[in-house]
Amino acid sequence: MTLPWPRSLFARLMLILLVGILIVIAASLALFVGERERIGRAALFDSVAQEIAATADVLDHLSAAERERWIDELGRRRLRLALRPPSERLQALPDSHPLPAALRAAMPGRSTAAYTHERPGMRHAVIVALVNLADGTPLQVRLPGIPPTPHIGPPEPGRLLAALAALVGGVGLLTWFAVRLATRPLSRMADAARALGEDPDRAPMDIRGPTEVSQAAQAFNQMQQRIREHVSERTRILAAISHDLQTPITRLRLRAELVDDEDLRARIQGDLDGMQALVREGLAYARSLNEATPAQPIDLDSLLEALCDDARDMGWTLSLSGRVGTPLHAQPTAVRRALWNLIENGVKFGGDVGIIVSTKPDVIEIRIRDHGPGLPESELEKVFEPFYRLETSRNRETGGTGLGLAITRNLLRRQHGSIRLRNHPDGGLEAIVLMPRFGAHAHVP
Amino acid sequence: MSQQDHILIVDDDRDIRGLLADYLEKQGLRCTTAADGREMKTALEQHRIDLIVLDIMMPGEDGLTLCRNLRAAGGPPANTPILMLTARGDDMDRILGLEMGADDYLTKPFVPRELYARIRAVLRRTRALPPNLDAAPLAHARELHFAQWRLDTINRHLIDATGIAVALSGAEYRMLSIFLSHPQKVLSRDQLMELIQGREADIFDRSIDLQVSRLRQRLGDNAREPSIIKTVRNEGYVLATNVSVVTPDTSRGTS
Repeated sequence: MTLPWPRSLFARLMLILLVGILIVIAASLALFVGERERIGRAALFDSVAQEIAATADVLDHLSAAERERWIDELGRRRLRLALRPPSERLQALPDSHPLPAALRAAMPGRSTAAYTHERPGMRHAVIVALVNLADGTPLQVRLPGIPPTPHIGPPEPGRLLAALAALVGGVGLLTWFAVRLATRPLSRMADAARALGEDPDRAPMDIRGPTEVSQAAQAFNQMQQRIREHVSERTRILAAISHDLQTPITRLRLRAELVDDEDLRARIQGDLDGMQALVREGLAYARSLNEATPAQPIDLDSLLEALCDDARDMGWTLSLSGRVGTPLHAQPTAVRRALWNLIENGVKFGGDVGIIVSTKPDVIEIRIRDHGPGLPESELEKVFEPFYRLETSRNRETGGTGLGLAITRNLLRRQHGSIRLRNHPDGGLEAIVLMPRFGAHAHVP
Repeated sequence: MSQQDHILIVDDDRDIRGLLADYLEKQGLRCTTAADGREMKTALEQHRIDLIVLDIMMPGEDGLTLCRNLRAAGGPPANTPILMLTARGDDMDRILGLEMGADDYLTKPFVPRELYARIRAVLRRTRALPPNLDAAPLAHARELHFAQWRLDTINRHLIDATGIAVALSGAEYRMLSIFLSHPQKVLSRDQLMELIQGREADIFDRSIDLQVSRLRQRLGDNAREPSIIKTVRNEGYVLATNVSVVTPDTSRGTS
C-alpha cells in the first residue's frame, strides 16, 4: 500500500519539514521535561534528607537541654525542628513521593517517616519528616514552602493547545517561507520555458536571486539564446534557399515557353508550380516560427465572413454559423492565413466545408469540418509534422506541400492558440481551433 | 493597337532578360533589354518605350531607385508605365514599389503568361481610362483614413473607430481600394469592371452591384441611404467622403 503522497514539490517539502520538525520538537520536549522533573525533584529532596541527617547527627551528641538551645539558635532557618512526636493530624506521605526514599537513603540506621500537614488557608500542605534520634527522641522537621506532592501533571489543555498552535504556526510559517524560496524559482522557470515555446524572442529571465537560482536562470537564458539563433539560422537558410531558387525557376518557366509541344509545356509548368509552391511554403513555414508582428484586436466574425467570401469566389462551397461578438487579440494576417489553410485543406480533402464558431468562458472555438473520409486516429497528430506524408499519399495528388498544417499550428501557437484534429462522429475531418478570449496572456492548453 | 508595343526589360540576370524578350516577342511585342540603370537610360533616349518591366533586386541602383528617378526626371519617359518584378513576395516590397510609382507588380517566379496578361492590362488601362481616372497618389500610402474608417493597405484590412481590425475579402479590398483611389469621382460600372480586372486577372462572375452592396454592408453603410459609397443614377457609384493619408510612421525605414 502506498500512502497518499502530494504531487507538488512544494507540498512534499512542506510535509517533510513540518512533520519532521514537529516530531523532533515533540520528542525533545518530552525528554527534556521528564528528565528535568526527575532530576530536579530527586536532587531537592536528597539534599533536604542530607541536611536532616546532619542535623540528627548533631543532635545525637547533645544533651536534652543543649538540643533545645541549639534548635532555638540554629534550627529555625530553613528547617523548623521540634523534638516531639507527630500530632494525630498528620497523614503519611505516599511512597511515590521522593522524600521517604531520600530519608531512608540518607539515614539507613534510623527509623524515618514523612507526613503531610494540611492546613486550611495555606496553598500547600506542609511536609513533615520524622526521624528518631539515637536515644529514641523523635525529631520533627517541617519543610515549609515545598509542595507536599510536587506533582507536575499534564498542563491545562487550553494552554497546551495554544502553545502547540503557536509552535506549529511558527514552524509552519518558517517552513512555508523556506519552501517557497526553494520552489518559486522552479515555477518561474516552468513559466519561462512555456513562454519560450510560444515566443523564442521573449525577454530573458531575471537572473537575480540565490546562487543556484541565478545559475539556473543564466543557463536557461543561454539556452534561449541558442534556440533563438538556431531558429533564426533555420529561417535564414530556408529563406536564402527559397530566394535563390526563384531565379532558376523564373528561367525555367521562360525556357518552358520555348517548348513547342503544348502538352509537355503544360506538364513542365505544372512541375514548376509544385516547386514554386514548395519554395513559397518553406519560406512561410520558416517565417511562421519567428515572425513577431504585433497583435491587435480583430473582429473575428468579419474575418470569417471575408474568408468565406474569398472561398466562394474560388468556387468552393462552405457554410458559416455562430458569432463571436467579442474581438480577438491576435496578429490579423497570421490568424487569416491559419484559418485559410484549414478551409483550403477541408475543401481539398472533403468537398463542402462547415465552419462553426462559438465562445466558451475562456476561449473562442472555431470548428472547421469537411465531409471527406477523415483520417486514421493514429495520423491525427502526425499530420502536423512538417512534410509528413500520409500513406495514401493523397497530399501529392492534391498538390499539397506537407507544410500547410505545420504552418497553421505554428501561426496559431504564436497567437497563444491551439489546434487539433478529430474525426467527426457524423463523418468528415474536423479541425478545432481554440483562441484565448481575454488578451494575449491567457494560455490555452 | 495597330502598332507594336515596345517593352523595355530591365533585369541584371542575362538569361532572364534574353528569355523574357524572346517570350514577349513571340507574343507579338517588341522588346529592348537593359542590364542596369545606365542601359535603361540609353534605351529610353533611343526608343519610344510603351512599358518598362523593371526588376526590383539589382546590384548598384535597384529597381526602386530607378523607378523613383525616372518619375522625378520629367519629360515624356517619366510617365512610362512600369511593371515591377520583385523577388520577394513581401508586402513591404509591393507597397514600396507602388509608392515609388510602379503601375503593377509581379512576384518572381512568375508564370510568363501572367506577365504578358499584366502587361496588356497595364497598357490597356493607361490608354483606355480618361485622364481624370488616374489613381490619386494617396492610394499608395500605408494607411488611409475615410469616413470613420482606416484602411491598412499592408495587412489589407479595415480598422474601425475603436481600433478593431475588420477583415475584407479579396474582392472587397480590390473594390474599396479603387474607390479610395478615386474619391469624389463617379465611376461607371464598366470603369469599375475595367479597373478591377486590370488589376487582378481573377475570374469575376459577381456583378459590380452585388460587390458594391457587400462592401457597403462591411462598411456599415446603410443600403437605402448610403453615406460612404453613393449611387449615381444611370451613371455608377461615387465615394462620397474625403480620403486622407494617416500620418506616416517616419520611424519605419524604406530598406
